[in-house]
Amino acid sequence: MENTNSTTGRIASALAADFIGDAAVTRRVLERVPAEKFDWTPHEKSMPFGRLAGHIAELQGFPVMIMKEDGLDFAEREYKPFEPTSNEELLKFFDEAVAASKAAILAMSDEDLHKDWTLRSGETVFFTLPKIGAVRAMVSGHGIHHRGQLSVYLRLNDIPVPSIYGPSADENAG
Amino acid sequence: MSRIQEIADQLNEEIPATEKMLARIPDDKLDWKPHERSMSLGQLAGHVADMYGWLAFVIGRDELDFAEPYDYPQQFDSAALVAYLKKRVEESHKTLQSAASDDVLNETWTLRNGDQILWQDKKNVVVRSTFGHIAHHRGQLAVYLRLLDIPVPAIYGPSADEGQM
Repeated sequence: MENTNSTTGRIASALAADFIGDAAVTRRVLERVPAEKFDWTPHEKSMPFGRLAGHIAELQGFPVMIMKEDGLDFAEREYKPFEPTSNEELLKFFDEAVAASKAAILAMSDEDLHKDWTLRSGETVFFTLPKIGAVRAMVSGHGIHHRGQLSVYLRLNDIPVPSIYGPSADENAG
Repeated sequence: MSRIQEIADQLNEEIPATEKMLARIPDDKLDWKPHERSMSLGQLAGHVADMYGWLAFVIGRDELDFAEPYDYPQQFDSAALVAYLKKRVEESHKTLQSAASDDVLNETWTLRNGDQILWQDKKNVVVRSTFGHIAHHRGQLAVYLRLLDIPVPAIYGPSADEGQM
């Protein structure tokens, strides 16, 4: 742990609350992805249903890496995509990633959350952002993007789309 | 950096990928939809472009009332979508520039339908939700493009079509 402050910062508390709020909605969407459709894909160039859901679950674990390290280098890190074989496995992976990320965020001081984090592949730098900004881009925006895609996958399979940012054509916000 | 400035920067970060997507929408497919219960391509793309202007009323006003008329073009072609996106981004930036300080973000904002309050929260929370709402529908739009065999630009990283590392 690189945190230098034993009390959770106000920014960390707010960031963790935002992260948990998004995760609760995401879980409702993942719960509906049926294992028998994991191999289904809407297009030959698209991620299959199970892989897209697995990718969304993986992203929930990214804050651990962002909090504990100062960057990610694709050239150095071997990436093994998570491809779940059952909905239970998908949700277990998701829940564990959310819990680990929540703990990692809450261990940060406000000062440490403003330290730089860099995404690179060897010499090529994609971006450098404060850690809090890296969570916003790599986890929040990125995760919501793929969750939006997953909602289309549900619709195309005639699975009711839950309310996400308001009522869907299938369900009301309530 | 002020929070208002961070929001303005985040808005700018969003635009290049969104503009590419809207510019690629074929005018003869605006009525296409992937499923009978889905929004059409034109509706979804118009909604995405429109949302980039929401910061004007989230920060510049205290509420949005669905019961009141909402100025929104119903017909788009691809060029009009890009022009509308730029207009809406400009409207959001204008409001952000006129905000005196971050204090405005602690004010309460209300979404209502006449007397019925649908949602009430601090403007800071509503801003965050607005960016999420955009990312949600832009992600859906990426699937629409793919299904129509239109190359998907790199958005949060490379797509299967572009931006391979």
